[in-house]
Amino acid sequence: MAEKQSMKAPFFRSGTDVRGMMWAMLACLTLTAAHFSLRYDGAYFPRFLLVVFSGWALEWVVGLLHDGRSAWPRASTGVTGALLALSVPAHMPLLPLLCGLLVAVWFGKLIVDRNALRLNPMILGRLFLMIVFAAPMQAWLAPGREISAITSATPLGLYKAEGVAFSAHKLLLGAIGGDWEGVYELLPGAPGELMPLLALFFGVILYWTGVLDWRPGVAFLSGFAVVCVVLRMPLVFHLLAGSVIFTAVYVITDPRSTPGSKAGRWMAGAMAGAITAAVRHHGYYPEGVVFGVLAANLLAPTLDRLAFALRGITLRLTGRSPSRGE
Amino acid sequence: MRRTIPSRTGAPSEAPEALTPSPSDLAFSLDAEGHRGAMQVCVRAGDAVLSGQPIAEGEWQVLHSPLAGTVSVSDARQVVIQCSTEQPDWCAAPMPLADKSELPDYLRAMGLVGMGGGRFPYARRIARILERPPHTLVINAVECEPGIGIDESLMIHQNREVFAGAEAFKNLLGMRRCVLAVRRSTRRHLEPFLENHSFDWLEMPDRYPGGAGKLISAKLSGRMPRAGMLNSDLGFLISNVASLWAFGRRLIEGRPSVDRPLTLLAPDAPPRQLVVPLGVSAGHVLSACGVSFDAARQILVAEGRLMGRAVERDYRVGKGAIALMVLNRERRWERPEAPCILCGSCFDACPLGLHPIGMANRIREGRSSRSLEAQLNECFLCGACSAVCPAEIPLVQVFREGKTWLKNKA
Repeated sequence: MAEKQSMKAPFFRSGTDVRGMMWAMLACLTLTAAHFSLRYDGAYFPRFLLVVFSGWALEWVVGLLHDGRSAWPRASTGVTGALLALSVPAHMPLLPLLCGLLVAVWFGKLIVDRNALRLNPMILGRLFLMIVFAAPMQAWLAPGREISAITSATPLGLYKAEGVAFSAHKLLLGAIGGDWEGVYELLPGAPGELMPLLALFFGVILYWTGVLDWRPGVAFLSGFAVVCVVLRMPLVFHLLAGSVIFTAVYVITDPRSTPGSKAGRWMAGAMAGAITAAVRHHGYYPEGVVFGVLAANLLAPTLDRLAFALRGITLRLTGRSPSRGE
Repeated sequence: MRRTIPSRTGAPSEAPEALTPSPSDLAFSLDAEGHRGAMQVCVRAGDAVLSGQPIAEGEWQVLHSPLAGTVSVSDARQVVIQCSTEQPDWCAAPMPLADKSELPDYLRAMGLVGMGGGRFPYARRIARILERPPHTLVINAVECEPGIGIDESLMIHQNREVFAGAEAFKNLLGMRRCVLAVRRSTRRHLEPFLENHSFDWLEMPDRYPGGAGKLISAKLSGRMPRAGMLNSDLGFLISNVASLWAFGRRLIEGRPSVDRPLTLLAPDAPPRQLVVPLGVSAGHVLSACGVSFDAARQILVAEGRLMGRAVERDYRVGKGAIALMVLNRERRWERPEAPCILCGSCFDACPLGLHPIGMANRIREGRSSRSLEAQLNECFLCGACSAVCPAEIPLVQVFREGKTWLKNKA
């Protein structure tokens, strides 16, 4: 009574595989870049593509140097490149940007031991740029202009400088323009953060198709909101300005760098959101996402170990109904 | 994440059909693990056997020949019967029960086991709870494995036998309540056919593994049975529809457990509900039903997509075979394992809130801990975590090895 040994149950799959997940993310990010390009700067989209393909090329070269063999680059590296391109000023000089990309791809993806440290590669690259290339990272230029003759500011920059909260309605729809009292020319920030509504839309699609988990994003927004309320920051403005929504959808949900357990994701997301809000309020930088996300990443392995041990303890002690009692 | 495993939906199941033509031979493995206990053969090669005649006996169940024929092979490992071309009709004679003390012997003699896939002998199960019977009988008609509809078919078209078995358990064991556990989508299929019966409905979700006994217990009592604790310890006797059907047939017609109701699934064909004799080969079932099978492009699966196994045409239908499926091979099933990306899909899929990838990593690294033992003991190998893993990590196989590893360590 023979039984086939090569294939084992389950003979059923739900959801797409890893590559499919990454391509879905990349598709959403590419559409986000295209949207920014259509509304504000026609020259941006080719630059975005250049960064994505450069990331792949870098991974191929680094892989060749490291392992001595040629391998197809991964879709996830494309996602890293896309996220980085969408989170820096649209007119950032290319050479520093590619340096940041090299840090993200080489150090962030290929070298860091993912058992010991689970760091978001894009955030690593962005941190590198913030420290080493601080000036280009804060150079917001209107499309078609090479020199800023008028002081320009993003909505978040305006708030940091003058304490003025830009219209929430316009922020949601990405309608950023005009000037503030003839003093500041208002410009959109990084391309990814332009239209939070679009990011939320793609977030829902990615959740619905099983690509993303909703918990880290909701936890991030919740932690952020609580601290905003405690520190009496204008909540709606801060949720919509900068890269909060973009981070909630695309960055804090990065599976590799956040805890795998549900409890861990809640804790990490909330902590990242809280730190982001605190840095925005107290820190030098108008945006605090990098620090919040990195702090959560550093604790990810510990949070997972803690959650695993706690589950075992609850099973031994109580035999309670699980979170999904059905 | 929305990575769920939907159960079968669609039109109500058709009535179960008898398998024709009858097979030319039947074969029975006497493997102790498959029968949950050692079996001793009680016929010899060359013996003539009648339909319903015992051919092997164990401490908790008897195995019978479904059809009349001649024993061609009889040894410690298997019994093979060459079936007669002429099969006399079954001579129905009711075999009622008077008292609960008769139940264990009765169930042993008829060879009743858990026919939802567990195959646990009912005689042993009932003997354990005779002194303190449960208060609630649960008819488990949830049938959460994707594509399978045989329980629904029996509930619609042969519920007389099902409820005969259920009433007998309820009355003999003095249970106060009878609950019918179904999926939300199948309740409307069943309601018109069950109006004359008295029970409470329990709706479970339309996804796998909604029909697991532990989950039904947890929903009824608000408390999950701990590892080592049985559902009966919480006061529930959870019984699969096919098991009650077989028990009812014994009571009404005197027929022992010799038939297996199952769903036959094939690509591009509607599912068929069949009643086949135990020991029939999968190849005979396929050819009798006109189902082709190309081993190069397809795979033959017994017992379900999630908890079943790939078999060959010479696979013999046993008491736990709830389905036979011809499935087109999918490349993803054979794809090599990729590194885990910690997407958390397995955490979401696990119905018990366990940490599948955490368990798998610790098992592979040989890192035992009390938390690992506690979680591994809870796991009932439903396979939901493996089905949703985008990296094709064979989680359920790792857990199976892990359970053996822990058992050897203890």
